[in-house]
Amino acid sequence: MVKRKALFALAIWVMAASGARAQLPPDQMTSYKLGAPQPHWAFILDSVFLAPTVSKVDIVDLDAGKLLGQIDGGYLSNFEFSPDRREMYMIDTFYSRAWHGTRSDAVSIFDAGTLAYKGEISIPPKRLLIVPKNNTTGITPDGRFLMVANLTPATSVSVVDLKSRKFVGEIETPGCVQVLIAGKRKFASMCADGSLLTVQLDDSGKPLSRKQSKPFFDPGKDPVFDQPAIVGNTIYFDSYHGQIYEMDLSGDVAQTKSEWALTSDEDRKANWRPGGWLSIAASEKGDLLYVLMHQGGEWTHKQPGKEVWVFDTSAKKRIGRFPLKTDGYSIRVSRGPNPILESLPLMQSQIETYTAPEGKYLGVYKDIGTAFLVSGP
Amino acid sequence: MDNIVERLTRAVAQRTSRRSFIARLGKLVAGGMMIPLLPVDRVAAQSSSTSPVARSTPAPNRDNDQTCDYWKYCAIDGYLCSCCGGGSHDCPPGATPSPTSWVGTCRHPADGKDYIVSYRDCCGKVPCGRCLCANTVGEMPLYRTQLDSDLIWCFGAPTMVYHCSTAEIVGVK
Repeated sequence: MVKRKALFALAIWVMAASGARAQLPPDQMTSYKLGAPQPHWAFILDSVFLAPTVSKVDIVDLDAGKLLGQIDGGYLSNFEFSPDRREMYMIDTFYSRAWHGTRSDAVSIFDAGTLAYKGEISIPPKRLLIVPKNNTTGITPDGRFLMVANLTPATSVSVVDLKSRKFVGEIETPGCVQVLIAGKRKFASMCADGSLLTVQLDDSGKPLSRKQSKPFFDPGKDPVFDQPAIVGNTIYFDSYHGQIYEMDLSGDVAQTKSEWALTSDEDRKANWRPGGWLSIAASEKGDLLYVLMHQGGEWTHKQPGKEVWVFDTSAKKRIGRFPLKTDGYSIRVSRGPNPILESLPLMQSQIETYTAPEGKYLGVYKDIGTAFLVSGP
Repeated sequence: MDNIVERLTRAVAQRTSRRSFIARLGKLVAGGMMIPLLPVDRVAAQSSSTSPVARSTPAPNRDNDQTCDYWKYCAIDGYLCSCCGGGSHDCPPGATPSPTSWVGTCRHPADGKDYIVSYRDCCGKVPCGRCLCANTVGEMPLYRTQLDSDLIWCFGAPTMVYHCSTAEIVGVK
């Protein structure tokens, strides 16, 4: 009896000493929620070049260097975030048999808090298929209409009512392409002769007015890039040779507000010019412009930038410049407090961050696939 | 120039079999698009008003069609079909040549002539992933559509899925 008691005591002691070697409770599997988007989150559009029939967006906390979630798309999809930050959209093209079959295009809707797929809105299978560029799609600032640029190669814009979840119509834009959102219910398209077409929509998404400006630059002499920086009603176009065209879209027809040079005579002698994929970014207030600059000759407009130059838009003067650790192909400046400059190098599957406008290197986040565009809240 | 236009027109006519595509082109014309349909005019127009369009590509790879420096590739953008089972102007097996293309002008390093080159994509398979080139001589933004290399130029092909890029001489400028 004593022996048994001793054995029992020993057993208790062993269990206690082994620190609750008692079995763990079963795991309860859930899906995380994303939470409210933070200013230094990046939405990195990965076009998955080797299998571009399935694009994706990586949502990354750049401060923590952490992947938070992902949403998926179709062939060379575009990404949009609703202005109220409640929904995300992928503007997709699908083939019924992945790489062949019947083509269908759709706006896929995701809940921004859970990243769960909510449904889709069918659109005409005409969307402009391109290595993703800004201004291929856009949402009006009130969140009501999403617009999709088409190119078949005839050019038009599909209008989607996000409230009624319906495609409401197609606006022909002959000779002009892309959707540059430039006002409450307004977009502009860039035309072959160097002009801008301004289209105003009514409450049902139909065109209320459409007016083409006079050419504001000469595409034969010094073309502007097709991904300008947009701040409210103002669009800043940078050109191959380093001019800035500031266009005012507040009226029915686009007006030139100012034209100035990014480079001095000395800079031009040293062959400094803008370049890259998305070569220009504006600060949230529009007081500063950031431009990717490199030294190169004619037709080097897609050479990645060695430096970022910072310009004051009211003084129309450079106020700073800083080198990039890796030459940049696309840049963006975050919104909100403590802005950072985000730089995507060409085909290097990484994003670098710098303080803005000072340009102090903060870090790098890797393994982002083939990304040409980054957006954020 | 007439000769080039005639050859290009014939080439397009031979390739364009799909009625829907012809209808779309018709719409493009009817829509009053300001750009002439044939790209040749535009290349010529551009060269008259701006800095040199053509340049000879640097040696030593100007004759090697599996490198980005091959002379015909002065404005090619994408994976080289010649690295993907095809040739400099031929698709790999099973891929379909696009009936539409964008155009560039490249100077032949030996004869010094400027050739008009039609950059035709091969379509119907996902990207081949070999020999990525991004040459940009004469390359223009989207609003000059016919000179834009970033678009998927598979209009008129059975699917818009891009496989690789080729360079086809259309004529001398």
